Order: sequence, then structure tokens, then C-alpha cells
Amino acid sequence: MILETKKVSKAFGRIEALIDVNMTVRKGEIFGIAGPNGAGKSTLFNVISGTFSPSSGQIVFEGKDITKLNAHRICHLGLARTFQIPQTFPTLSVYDNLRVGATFGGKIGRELEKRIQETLGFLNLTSFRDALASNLDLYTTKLVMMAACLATGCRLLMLDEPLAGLSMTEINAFLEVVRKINGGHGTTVLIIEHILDSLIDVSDRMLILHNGAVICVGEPNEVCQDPKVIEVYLGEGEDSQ
Amino acid sequence: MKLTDFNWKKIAIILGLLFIALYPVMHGDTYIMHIFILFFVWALVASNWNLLMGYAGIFSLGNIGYFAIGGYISGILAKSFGWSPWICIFLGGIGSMVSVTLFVGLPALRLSGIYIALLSLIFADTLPTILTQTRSVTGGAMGLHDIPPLFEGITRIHSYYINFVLFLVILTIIYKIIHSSTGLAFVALRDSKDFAKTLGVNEYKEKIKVFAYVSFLTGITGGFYVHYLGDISPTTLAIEPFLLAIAMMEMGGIGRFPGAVLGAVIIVFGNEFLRLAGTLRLALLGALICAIILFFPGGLMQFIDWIDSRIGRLKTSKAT
Repeated sequence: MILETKKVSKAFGRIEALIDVNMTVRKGEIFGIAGPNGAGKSTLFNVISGTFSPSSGQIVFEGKDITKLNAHRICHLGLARTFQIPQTFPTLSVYDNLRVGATFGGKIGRELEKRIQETLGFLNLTSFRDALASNLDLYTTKLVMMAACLATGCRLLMLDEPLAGLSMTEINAFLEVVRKINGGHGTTVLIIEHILDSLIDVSDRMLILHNGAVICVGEPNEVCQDPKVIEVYLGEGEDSQ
Repeated sequence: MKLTDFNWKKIAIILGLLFIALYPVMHGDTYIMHIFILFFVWALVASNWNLLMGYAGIFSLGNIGYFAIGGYISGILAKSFGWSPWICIFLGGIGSMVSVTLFVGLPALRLSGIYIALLSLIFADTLPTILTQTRSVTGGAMGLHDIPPLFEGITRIHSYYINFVLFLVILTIIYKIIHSSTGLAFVALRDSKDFAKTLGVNEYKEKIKVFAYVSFLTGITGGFYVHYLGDISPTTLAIEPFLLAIAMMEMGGIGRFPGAVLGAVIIVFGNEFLRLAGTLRLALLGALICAIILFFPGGLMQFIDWIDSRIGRLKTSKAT
């Protein structure tokens, strides 16, 4: 087990974005989180990665309690995340984007150069090495964002809706890259997506979130057949009690 | 030498530094040397300011205050206790660093943008009041006089070279900081704060670091300044030096490395030679600043980029 959330809740004023979320992510797997818009997926990510702390509950990463830690501390422990709205450092080159991750997240001195080259090569970004991040297309921007995370040497990579806005071919290519990161680097991947098909395709296990609560966890084929999941996805909007 | 190898910027810098280094030997007018020393000092104040404002994106307006603290501490220590000015200058830098980091840096962590500007401005603005209230030590509004020079029998030429070396050393340090991991962190934080943090950039640590660097280096510059002039008074903290230093940054190009130095060349020498114009001096200087900002909003550095692109085009047309 690499990550565990224990009864994690988060309220924004009166709105309860997360209610007692229990989740365990095993080392080495690709774990998918799905759910309709507003289900609390991104809030869960923000709480785990330290953007803000939960109202109650505990988050444990590799046996360490990270509930109250700042984002940068969590990164130093080996957990990196991407953002739904693609984030890079537009005024820096692709190489320097990775350098930020390697320098501050990786805390490596001499092997910095090697780490960056390896990561660029691993994600087939070597030809973009000196390009300015602001000049990249959406797909490459997303790859660079992910590469910067990998350059920190993270053991858990969290991807927040990485497929949004990509074409079908790009989606397939991207999922290939995710599999490669998971297989080749042995990095555990936590992925949020609301395109269910793709998520089912790539995940080892899945969790469905609805109105801030977990309604189902399991292997993709089990999850698909769960009556509550079917209701959420097909009967959405009809009866929310 | 082929035309393509020609890097006019490097050559200009080398020629400029050679000229400065050889000036006292070639011509050696004591008045011009004085202006040069003022240029060294103000170029450093503006370059440090640019590090804080242009690179780190922290809108500090109190840098003249950091400068004055360093100067006053060093002057008072040297005068009252008779300690070696060199040690006093160092202590002045430390004093400036501690007080600025404590009273501006730490609160600034909780503030952003314009509020840091207000805080740092207030910090610098309290200094004249503190000075007049502590007249017995600081000399109050009359200022502190007869501050011992760096060593007995110092001449203008000595001061010139000492300040020139200071100029080179501090600019090298600033260049190193910009190209260090700290500099990278600032660009990252400026570009995307959230992403930078999740990649492990510790925002607070980097901000405190830059406050400490800048206030120490500015404080030391203040120390060298007062030991050169022999006196300092609260007029240092008046609006004119403040505006001129801001103008140096603006003219040179905010967030560009040697920009503030170029701005200082124009402001310091312009300010002196325009004395011929009498009361029109500041108006002329202002017009010059307006013209530069109007045509080159990125300051002189943008002007240099423009020349560069022209030369680049010339090269390609020659090549074909």
C-alpha cells in the first residue's frame, strides 16, 4: 500500500465536497477515480497533494502521515501531481521546466542533468528540449507537465483529468505513455478522469465518487456492473433525493 | 574574424569595463571620478532592487531604506567605537539583513503584490522619524558627519577602485543568484505558483532568501557609500533618490540582468551633466524616461534586443 485516506472529509462552508472518503492505493498499480462533475474528484486530489488540508480524516503516504503537510513537503516525500488546467512554466524551456522538478522535488545535485535527459528520453520529448513551453501544443504541454513531475523522482504520480481536450488518437497515445510510466518506472499512478471508457481501459482498480462519497471500489469490470454506478451514470439528474 | 562570430554585446561590455578601469589613469578628473563612484553605488542599489522586484516579483519599495540602514549602522559604529570601517560595513550589511528580513520579509510572506509595496514603503518611511528621535546617536535631521574613511590618507583614486571592485563583485553575485536554483524558483513561482509548489519549490524559503540577499548586499553598498562620502543624513531617504532608483530600473528593463546598470549610467550621468540646464534638469530627465518607455516598454534591454534582431537580419541577408 502506497497511499491511504482514512475518513477524509472536506467542507467548504456548508458545502460538503468530500464525505468520509476511504481509499487505499496499492504500490505499482494504476488506480482510477471517476465520477460525475462536482463529485469531489479534484478536491480529493487537492487534499492529498497539500493544496489545502482536509476538514477531518487522515492521509497516509508510504506509512507517513501527510495530512497537514504543505504541497512542497509532500512533493519531497515522493508524490507529484498534474493539474486539470495544463500548467507549465511558459517562459522557460522544456528542459528548464524539468529542471524545476529535478532541482526542488528531486533534491539531487550531480545527477540532475542525467535525470532530466533520461526523463526527456523516456517520454520522447528530447526533440522539444530547447523549445519554449509556451509554444507547445496541448498534448505536448500535458506531456511536459507530466515529465516535470517525473523529474522529481516521484513514486506516486497523480494525474488530474489528463485526457480532457485531447483527440481520440492523442488519448490512446497518452494512455500508452501512462502505461509505460507505470510499467517501466514502476511508478504508481492515480488518475482522475470522467471519460469512463478510457479509465476502464487503463486502470487496474477504480473508485467511483458521487456527491463527495465513495459509492464503489473494485476492478473495472466489477465497477461497471455495480447497480449504484449504473444509476449514477445513467440516471443522473432524475432523482437526487 | 567572420561576421557571424561578432558578438557586439560582449565587446561593448569589455570595452566599457576597460574604459572604467583605465579612466583614472587616462584622464583622472576627480569630479568625474566622483560621478563614477556614485554610478557604481546606485547601479548596485538598482540592480539589487531589480533582483527583488524584477526577478522575484516582490514589489518592494523600501530598498533605499535598506541602503540607509546599512550606511547608518556602519557609520555610527565606526564613528562611536572607532572600529575598522571594513568590519563596520559588514556589520551594517548584517544589520540591514536582520531588520529587513524580520520586519519586511517575514510579514511579506503573508502578503502579496501591492500590500508588500505598502509594507516596505512604510518601513522605509519610519526611518526618518526614528532618526530624528535618536538624535544623540544618529545626528537627527542634521545627519551623521565626520564618518571615518576606509583608511587614513585615502585618495579619490583609491575610493574609485574600491567601489569599482565592489561593483564587479556584487554584480557577479547577483548574476550568480539569478542563474542559481533560487533564480529558477522565482521564474517558476512567477509563471505558475501552484505547479511550482507541487514540484517541491518552497515559496517561503526562497522569498526569505532573496530578502536576506538583497538587504545584505544593499546594506553593504550603503556602508561603502557613507565611508566614501563621510556623512549621511535623512535626505538619503527623500523622494528624489527613491524615484531616481526606480527610474534606473524602469529605464534599464525590469527583470533583465544588466538592465539596472544601464539605467544607472543614464540617470547618474544624465543627472550630473543636465545640471547645466538648471531647474529643467528633472524635466529633461523625465522626458527622456518617457521617450524610452514609450518606444521601448522593456527599457534599454529591449532596445538592445532590437539592435540584436537588426544585426541578425543583416547577417542572414549577407549570408544569402
